[in-house]
Amino acid sequence: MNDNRKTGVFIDSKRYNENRNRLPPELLEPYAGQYVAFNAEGTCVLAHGEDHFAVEAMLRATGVDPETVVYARIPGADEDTWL
Amino acid sequence: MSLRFSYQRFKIKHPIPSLAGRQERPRPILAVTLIGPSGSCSEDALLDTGADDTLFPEALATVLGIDLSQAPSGTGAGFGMHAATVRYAEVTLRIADNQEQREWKAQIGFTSARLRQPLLGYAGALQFFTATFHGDREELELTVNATYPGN
Repeated sequence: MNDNRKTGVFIDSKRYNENRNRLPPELLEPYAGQYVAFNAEGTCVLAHGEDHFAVEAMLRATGVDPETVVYARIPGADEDTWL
Repeated sequence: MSLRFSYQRFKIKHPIPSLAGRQERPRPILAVTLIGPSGSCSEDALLDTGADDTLFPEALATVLGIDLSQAPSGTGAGFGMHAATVRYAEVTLRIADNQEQREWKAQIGFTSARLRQPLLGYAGALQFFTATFHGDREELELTVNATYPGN
C-alpha cells in the first residue's frame, strides 16, 4: 500500500446511526431493494441506483465526491426477517 | 475506551410476532471505511458474530484499486447454501465514533455473490475486538483487545 493512498472522509458512525434512525421511514421506501449513498452525517440520501456503480455515477454527475459518502443497501419490502 | 454505536432501525410494514408486534428491526450495522491502494469507500456493514470472514462485494475492490486476479481464494456459503468464491486482499479498515477512531489492516474477502449487507465477521474485524451487544439499549460496544494490530 503506497503512502499516497486516499484515506476518505472521517465518518462518526455513532452520529451517523443516530441520524439514520431519525429519518422518516417514508423517505427510504422508494429505495427499497436499491443501493443508496447517504451523506457522511446520515441525514439525507444523495444518490441511488441498482448497484454500487450506478450510485457512484449519479454522485459524480451531481458533483459529489464518492469518497465522502456512505453506501448502503436499503432492505427490500419482503425482507422482514434476515436469516 | 470503547466505541459505541446504536443499532440501525429498519421499518417493517407488518407487526413482528417475535418482537411483540413491534414494526421495526434493530440491527447492529455501522459505517466502516475501507482504504485501498488507490481509493477509499465507506459502507454500511453488519457486525455478524456468525460470519467467519469480513466480506464485501467484489465491485468494491475496483473502487479501492485492488487487483483480485491473482488473489488467494476460497469458497463460502451463506443461508442459501450456494457456494460462492471469496477472494482475499489486504485493506485498511476504519471505524469511529465521536470519541475514538480505530484503523487497522486486515485480509478481507471479496465476493461476486449477492450480499444482503457487507459483513464484519471474525477474521479481519471481530477477532481484534471485544464486542458487547447491549440488547436492551440496542447499542453495540467495541473495545480493542490484545491482538488488535492497528492504531
